[in-house]
Amino acid sequence: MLVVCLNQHMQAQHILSIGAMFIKKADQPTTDLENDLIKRCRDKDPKAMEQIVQRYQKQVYNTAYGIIGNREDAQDITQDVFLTIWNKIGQFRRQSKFSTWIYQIAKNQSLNLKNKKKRRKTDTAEINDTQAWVPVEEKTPETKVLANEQQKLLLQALDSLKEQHRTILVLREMESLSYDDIAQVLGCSVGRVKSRLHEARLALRTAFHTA
Amino acid sequence: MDTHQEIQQQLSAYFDGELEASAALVVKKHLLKCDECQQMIADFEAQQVLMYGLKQENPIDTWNQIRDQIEIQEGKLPFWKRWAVPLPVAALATIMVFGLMVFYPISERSSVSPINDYLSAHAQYSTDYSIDSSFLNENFSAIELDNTDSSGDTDWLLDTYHGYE
Repeated sequence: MLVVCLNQHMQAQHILSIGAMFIKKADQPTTDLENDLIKRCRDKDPKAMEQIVQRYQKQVYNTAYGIIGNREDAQDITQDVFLTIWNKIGQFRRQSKFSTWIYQIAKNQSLNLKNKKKRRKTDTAEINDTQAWVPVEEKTPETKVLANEQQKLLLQALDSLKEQHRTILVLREMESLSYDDIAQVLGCSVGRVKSRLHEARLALRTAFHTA
Repeated sequence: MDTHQEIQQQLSAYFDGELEASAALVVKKHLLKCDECQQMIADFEAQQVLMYGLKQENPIDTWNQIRDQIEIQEGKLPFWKRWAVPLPVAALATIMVFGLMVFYPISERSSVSPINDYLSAHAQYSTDYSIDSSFLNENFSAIELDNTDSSGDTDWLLDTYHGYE
């Protein structure tokens, strides 16, 4: 079933071209505007914080959603991440890009919540969170037919992966981060990112084939 | 010479354009003659498209929520906003408590004096006769504890019940 879905998807050439279009490196350095926002935010200027939220809320929300797989939790995490940024922006040392620092916070808080929920064993039924999805990109009628079923299968497959595999896939495939940025977010070498990403893709492929 | 397995390990990096030119060329040549590796690349592509399709807009107004929390934290929230949530909750709780007090049915058992209830049970246990505690309640609003000494209480109650007194 999963293989069939994948093959159907593979046959839709235009979708692949759209996909290739999405994958772009997110390696812009911390810009002057960001530096200004960071400085103003340190001075506790809510207007600056508002701009930071507007710039990064989508990335933070999707990272959390990709890792946790639950919309409400992703919303909570998004708020918590920006509150953390507001409170700890003084700790940002410019050793990494501002965006990677934000991704790092989002990743850590998402994994913390996920682990907490695992410990409480309440992490069930979240996979059924697919009905109300509003994908960002406009879908063609052809893809709409497959999209819902495929997304369900994808989430099931993702849920069966190790956390480190799921996280790296979210950062690369959803957020299109470069290997360098992923290495900074995960706190590992680029070589490790290469091998882990390959493992993760193979694990996801296997999960699809076995589901 | 790179083996099939060694090249397969490079496929992900090749797919992401993260291989050096010379290594990428080796993989490219291998792909021309290896169906298995071609399929793997195709699957990676499909997975990537599917995962990108998970992206969605944050459905809530994040900034307004965060601003409120920041203002609470900084102690800058206007008076009316500080009570915007707690006040309706408190009002609802008050209404619920009041409703419970007015409409909650008072159980029959709670109208029975605990002493009479005890005596009734005790009499039933000690003899073959049963004394209805409601009878005691109707006829004796308060039975003196002094009258219920351990030796004569049963007889006294039985006498009362049968109208001998």
